[in-house]
Amino acid sequence: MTVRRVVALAAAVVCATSVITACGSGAAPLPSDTGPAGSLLSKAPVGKNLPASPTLDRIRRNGHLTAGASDTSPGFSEKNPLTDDYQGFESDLTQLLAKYLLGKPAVEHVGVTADTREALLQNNTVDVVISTYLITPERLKKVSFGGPYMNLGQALLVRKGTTGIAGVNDLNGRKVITTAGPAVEALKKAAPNAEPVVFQTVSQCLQALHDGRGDAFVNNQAVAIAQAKKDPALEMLSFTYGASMYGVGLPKDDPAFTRIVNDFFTEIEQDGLWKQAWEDNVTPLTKAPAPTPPPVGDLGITPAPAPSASS
Amino acid sequence: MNVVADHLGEILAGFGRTVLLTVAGYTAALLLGGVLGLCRVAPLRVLRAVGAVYVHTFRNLPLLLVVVVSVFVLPQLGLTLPLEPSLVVGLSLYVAGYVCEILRSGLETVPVGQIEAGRALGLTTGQCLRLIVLPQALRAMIQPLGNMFIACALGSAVGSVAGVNELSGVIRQLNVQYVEPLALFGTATLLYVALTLAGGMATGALERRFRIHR
Repeated sequence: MTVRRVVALAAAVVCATSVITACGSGAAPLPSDTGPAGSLLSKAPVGKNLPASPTLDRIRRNGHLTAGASDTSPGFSEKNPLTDDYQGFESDLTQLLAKYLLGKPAVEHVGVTADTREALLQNNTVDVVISTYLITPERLKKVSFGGPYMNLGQALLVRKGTTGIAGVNDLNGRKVITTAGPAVEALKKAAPNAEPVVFQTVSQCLQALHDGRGDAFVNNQAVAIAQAKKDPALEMLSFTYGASMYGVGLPKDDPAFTRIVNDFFTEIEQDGLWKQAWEDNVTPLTKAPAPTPPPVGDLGITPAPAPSASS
Repeated sequence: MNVVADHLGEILAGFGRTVLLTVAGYTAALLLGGVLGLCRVAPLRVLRAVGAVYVHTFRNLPLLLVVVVSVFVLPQLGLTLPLEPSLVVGLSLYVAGYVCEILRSGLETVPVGQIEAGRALGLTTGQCLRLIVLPQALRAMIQPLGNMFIACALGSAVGSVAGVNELSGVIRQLNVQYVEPLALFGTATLLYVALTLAGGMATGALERRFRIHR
């Protein structure tokens, strides 16, 4: 039982006992920079002549952007337990957005889970949700989406030496460990007969994979790549599936605000800040350059019927 | 509501798991709690200490922690149970502490004088328990034990964060997919109420059956 396993285990236990305690993957050290690199924020644009919008008025009244975020998503939105700062690609984008709206990167984070996002947007507890929020037709009925700002596929981690999973269809009939949210959704769409084994956090999932609670762990590519690099006992399978668009959850009844957020994304993608935010946070994990951002405004939705038994 | 209709099979399968976890966890908790309760009132100091340490440990931990420890820590100690049994272990360890205290307080409802009277008549400790103490103590315990069944049923929902796809886990996954919280959580509410109500009614029936008419 290595030190790493002990640390991961402790992290899992701590995580489970507290919703507000942030916890990393308990393995490799976190990137040392907290929050966006100074250069990123100093280059960030401030929105000029923004149109009238009730949400924007509220944000300005509060003096900060209230953002629903995950705190256990390595590389994207993770709360550093030592400093209480959020770090990752998504938390950087959140700060850039706050600066665009307010002229200063003032963000108040509210922890959200896959269960609570729509409700918190609908009752205006949060202004935006930036939390690997998968854009789906069902959700578009309840909330609006800005962006999309990334397109990620799902990737699988297995214990080294696992055989027999050559494609997503091979997951049918197997136990697949995952977290609640987009990963479990994509899994159900792609392999309806796979049995999802759901845990609260990525670190718990990995511990469960080591303990043989399932044949594979599935999560978005970036997280999977990051974990595979940290853990020599695991390997990543060579295929991905279910590439999907992720956007910023926004209040449904405020189309002007959605336009503002889309203009913001267009701007930061043009001046290279989107790319820099990715390369500051995700590239160190994946060792791959930033992808091309998805076209803003194209939510990538095909009128999807209810998931049927085809994959 | 058609989300519920479309996925009724899944929801009922989840409910079945909830019932199974509840019944298994409760049964194990009754057995363990019963043994511990007898320890708490045993004439041997060592046994009393064992019971006391157990109760003060497990009654003062959150259920979620107990369950996570049984799911993640036991494998580290070389004891990897499947997830459902791990959850049953956690649930029953937690509930047993309460069952133990219910048993102890039930036993204490019997006046000491009666036990002394039994001794004076030459009954052994076992006979005293069987003939005098337990018949009266058990009556006092029916209602609180019924409450613990309800606690067990609701506590089984912790399974949803420990990889067991019981009712609340199924409901949460469907809600993440379809965003119909009212219909889905309303359905879950009805099913949980059905389970706890069944427990409550059984408790009431037992109470009436064994009531002493004074």
